[in-house]
Amino acid sequence: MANVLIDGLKERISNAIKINQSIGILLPGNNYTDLIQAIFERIKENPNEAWVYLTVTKPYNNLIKQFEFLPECKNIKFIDCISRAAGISNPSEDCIFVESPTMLEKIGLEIMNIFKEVDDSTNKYLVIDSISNLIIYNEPGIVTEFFYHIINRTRAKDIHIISLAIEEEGLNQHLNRLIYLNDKILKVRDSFI
Amino acid sequence: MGNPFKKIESGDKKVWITQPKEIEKILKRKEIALKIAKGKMIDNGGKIETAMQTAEAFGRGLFEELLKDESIEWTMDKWLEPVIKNIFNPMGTGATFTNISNDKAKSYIFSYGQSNEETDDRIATLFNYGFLRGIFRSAFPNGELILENSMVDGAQMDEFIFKANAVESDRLEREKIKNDYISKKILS
Repeated sequence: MANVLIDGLKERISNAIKINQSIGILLPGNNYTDLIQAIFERIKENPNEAWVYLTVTKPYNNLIKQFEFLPECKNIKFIDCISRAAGISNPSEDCIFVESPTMLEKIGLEIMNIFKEVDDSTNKYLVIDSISNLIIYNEPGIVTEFFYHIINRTRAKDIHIISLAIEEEGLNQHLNRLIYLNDKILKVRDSFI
Repeated sequence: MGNPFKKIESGDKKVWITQPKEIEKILKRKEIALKIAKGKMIDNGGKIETAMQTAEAFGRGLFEELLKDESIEWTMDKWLEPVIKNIFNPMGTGATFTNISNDKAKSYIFSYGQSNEETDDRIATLFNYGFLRGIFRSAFPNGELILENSMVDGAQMDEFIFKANAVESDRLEREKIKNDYISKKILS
């Protein structure tokens, strides 16, 4: 069952991101693990693409512990906004550790710096995991400003964005508005996969 | 001595992030308590109430030993500081506390340090709920701990709400956790 779910998610994401510059994925809390597994498998299966994964949710070390194939994927770089804030330090070549999830300007710079190293002909993708977690640490207005900025800069460089948002009861108004800035919204429901 | 947590403030938002530094002795105690809870449950024919009671007793014991003397009148701030310092950090628990008010706080636990068990073991999730509930209700007898989402069910983090003054519907939470455990265990 889990494989069917993950394969279904992978296919939907792959199809959507090919034709849209930015997609927002709105998912119920309990589908998070399946969704990120689908994204990571998509990354693994396409080694000629360049990916940046911005994590505001789990520390980089937890992600590579959970998905053991990740260190072998040479086409993904991480930006971890949590570890240093929690005093966890485990340096890695594949990850940039930002001091705090509130340093949005720095996060933006690091994203663009990584993509600067990638040649123009390579397909480039950015995952923001997640918009809802950025709102835990930052004022929604500031996150909106950051997201506008990232969307504009990545569009200019032909970088595709996948931004995740966890659905909560009484979904935050700002989050709702933010996620709809994307070209396409995918609403994850078990029954639709 | 500095704060046992990193304080992040952005406008009206006040967020505290724990600074996990595992101390083997404390981590070990939790692991042993979890094993005891599992063992007792098996001895009692799989009765989940036994595991919950053991977890709560472990939490109450930690409160007596490590927190009780920190305050006479508890508020959420006064409770959170020593809990982070004496329990979360030495157990290697990475957590963000948000929406902190006098009688309520929300926590997002993103890491359980060395012991991986908690994220993929349903009984460990129940144990974590029970022991945190034991610690919390020792300071706030009218309070309740609500488990909003858990990693074992595929959520990004374990989300708890600490309510110092529980309302009637909150009182059902402990039973809900136990029933969830039973129904999901049958399905798995």
